[in-house]
Amino acid sequence: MRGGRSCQRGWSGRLGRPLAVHLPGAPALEVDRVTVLYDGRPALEDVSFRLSGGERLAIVGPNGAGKSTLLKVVAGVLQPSSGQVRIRGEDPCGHICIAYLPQRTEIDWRFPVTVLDVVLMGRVGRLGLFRRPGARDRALVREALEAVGLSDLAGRQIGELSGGQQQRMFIARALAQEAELVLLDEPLAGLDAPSQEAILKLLELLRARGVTLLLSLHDLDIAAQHFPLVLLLNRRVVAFGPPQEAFSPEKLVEAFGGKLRALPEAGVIVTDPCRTREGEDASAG
Amino acid sequence: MQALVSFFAEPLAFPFLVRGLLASALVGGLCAVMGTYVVLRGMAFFGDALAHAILPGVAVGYLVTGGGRRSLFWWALGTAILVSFGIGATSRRARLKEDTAIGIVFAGMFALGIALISTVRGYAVDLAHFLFGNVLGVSPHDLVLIGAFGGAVLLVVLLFYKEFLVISFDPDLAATLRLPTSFLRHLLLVLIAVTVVVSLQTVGVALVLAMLVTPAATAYLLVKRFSAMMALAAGLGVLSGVLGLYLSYWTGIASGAAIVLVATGGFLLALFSRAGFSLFRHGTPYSGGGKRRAQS
Repeated sequence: MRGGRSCQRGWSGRLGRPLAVHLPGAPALEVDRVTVLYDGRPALEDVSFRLSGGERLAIVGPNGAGKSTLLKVVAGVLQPSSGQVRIRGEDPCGHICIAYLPQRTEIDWRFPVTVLDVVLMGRVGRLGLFRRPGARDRALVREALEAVGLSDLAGRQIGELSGGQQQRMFIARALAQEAELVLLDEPLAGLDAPSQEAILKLLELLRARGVTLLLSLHDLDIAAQHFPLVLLLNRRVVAFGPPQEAFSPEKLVEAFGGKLRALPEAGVIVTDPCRTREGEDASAG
Repeated sequence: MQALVSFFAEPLAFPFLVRGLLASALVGGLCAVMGTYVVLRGMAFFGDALAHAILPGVAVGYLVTGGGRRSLFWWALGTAILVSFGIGATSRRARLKEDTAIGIVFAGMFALGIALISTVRGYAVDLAHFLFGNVLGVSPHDLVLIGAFGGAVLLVVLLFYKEFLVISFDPDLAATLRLPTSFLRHLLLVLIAVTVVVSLQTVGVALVLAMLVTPAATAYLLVKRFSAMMALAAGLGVLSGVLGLYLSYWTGIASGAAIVLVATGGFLLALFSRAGFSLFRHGTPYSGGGKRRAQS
């Protein structure tokens, strides 16, 4: 049913294929004319943009604009129907330095795992077959839990966490994974203002570590305030650049269509129906 | 005390019962371990379908060998592995929802199996063995097969433990960690297929699903870590197998049914004790089902 299959590589570097080499000088992320078809209908059309290392990009667009699809293609979870994604000059499938943080609604929160178990999963790619996590893995996991402030809750079953804590747990997993490119799908959806603040603060921490960030957002204000680069997406790239340029009234109308009204004085108001239901929209945006 | 000792000791005088007990315990534990994945990945229907779809393979083997029992295991195993791949391929090709694809393969194969067996005179008895198991007919040779294949399945689970955990919890994470997701998924299907085949003689086609699902679901209610769930499920599976067979011996009810009833009783006990405990703690009974959504 899906557009393409995820990349199939063995335990990279251990069963044959070497891990992707980071080519110096190649952009941290290059999306080159990517099109994704679901059952013949385009979810993404001819999407191209570039990011350098350490940059932070917020992807904004209406429901069904292809935000989740774009993140999955960059993660190498989904293969594009045409076009290419290159991370440091190489196909994403060779990289284990990409962390993809799913929307919270995609996870079964009653799964019998603890916070510690989930964060430890970030190490599985580096461990390889038949190996158990060692002292270094445990240290990295401990450090990651501390960084997001979840050390005390490490033994909790994941369903016992609040939404904000669940999101922080995923960020800890990305830290444990030693990811250089972190993709977050609607990390602020369904969170109250203090929890959103806490997540945004953690994203600052990732920036301080030189991590390249790519996330999808519903909130234009937060995108404009906290991110130096935004991508306005509605299956195609409507605008890409600093928010003050990309969020022009014409571009916003183009991206959001009828869901948006331009007011002469107050700027624009997005009346996206999905924002009324604390971001629980089932259609992955 | 005396009565209790004789309750457990008396049947042990019969070698076929000892073999039956060993087989039930092995199958109960093995099914429960694989059942942990079946329950968490929502594959119950797949497991049931697999068991039913094996029937034509067994029937062909039965016809080809003229009723020979020994080779039936291999016929069943071959069919199970073919079917587990077939179900995956059907849903990909036909663009059907997976449960619809499973339904088609499952019912069609089962009908074919019954059709084939019904061509043999006096088929009713043999058909009953396939459907409901015949644990008291387990030969030493069967026991060796159960032990060998069951052990192999458990060994593979142990080796791929962390990979199977990741792929069950978050398939997208497995993909970004560059685990061979397709290989792992198919491996898991094959392991479930082998488990079903090994269990057929004990509990039969109709009831193998219960051994896959029930002990694991009971454990799911009681513990909150994956490893604990698997270990507890295995323990409950072994216990159900052994107690069920004793129950069958003393009451005369069919062994497969007795084993499943014991497992089901354990589940109900866990469900009610949990509801009672929850009532005691929060004043409202535990309400299962549906994704629990934590608020921020």
